[in-house]
Amino acid sequence: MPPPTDNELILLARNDTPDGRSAFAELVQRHGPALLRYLANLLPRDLAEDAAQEVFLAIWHHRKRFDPERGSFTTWLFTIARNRAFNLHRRRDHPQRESALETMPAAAPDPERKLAVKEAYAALDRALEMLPFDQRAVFVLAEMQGFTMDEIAVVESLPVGTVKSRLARARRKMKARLIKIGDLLDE
Amino acid sequence: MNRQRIYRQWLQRRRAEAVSEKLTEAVMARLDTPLPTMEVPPQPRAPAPDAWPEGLARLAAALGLVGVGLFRLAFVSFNLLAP
Repeated sequence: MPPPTDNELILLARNDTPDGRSAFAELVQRHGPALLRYLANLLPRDLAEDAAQEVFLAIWHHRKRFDPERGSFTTWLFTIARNRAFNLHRRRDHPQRESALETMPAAAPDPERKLAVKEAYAALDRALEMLPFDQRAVFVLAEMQGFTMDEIAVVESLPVGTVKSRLARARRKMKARLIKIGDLLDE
Repeated sequence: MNRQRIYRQWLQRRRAEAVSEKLTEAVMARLDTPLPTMEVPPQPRAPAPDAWPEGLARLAAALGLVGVGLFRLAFVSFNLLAP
């Protein structure tokens, strides 16, 4: 028997019963990691965790509004998340992200190279942080979440053409940064 | 040092951003609490397709009609004027 679809789960979760709650828990389990990753790429880590919980709570409180005819559960989830991230980003004084990446193993073995690679990653992190929020949101959905242009257009409430141009601008900026990093690494 | 490789590795690391395994537990524990003050946008509809390809197609069709019209005019004129 195939696992229930997102639509089946959210429809089941309309009822505040043990079955409804367990369907909702399944949805959180299924989409939580991707949602948290998305938010962690847009917000500082501490805010991202809270925001992810709030987004799921918003879904729970508004679950009866979900209309499968209108679109997928995933795009609805990410639309709420995008909105939440934007509001939190606007309110906050843009502190540096906590570097959860620092603890990850480095790719290069020798210490000098390891340091250079670490600096390159940090420079790319900064470049991502410096992107305007609208470009960053599109870049993260495309490059890190693997969303299609159509899905991004739904989440961002934009025509596909605008999504493509925002993504192209973001990629150009990241590429320019990468060229600078490469020049420094080659020196 | 290969820039592209650095970039790909960096993307990989960002994609693998550590996720909390306690998220489901934390969300389920808060289900009965009131929703924090936040804007909840309505469920989006799939966006309307970009207008320009359709406009371009209409323009091409119009130009095609003009082209056919001019050709027919030239053809008829040629036949009328021909001895």
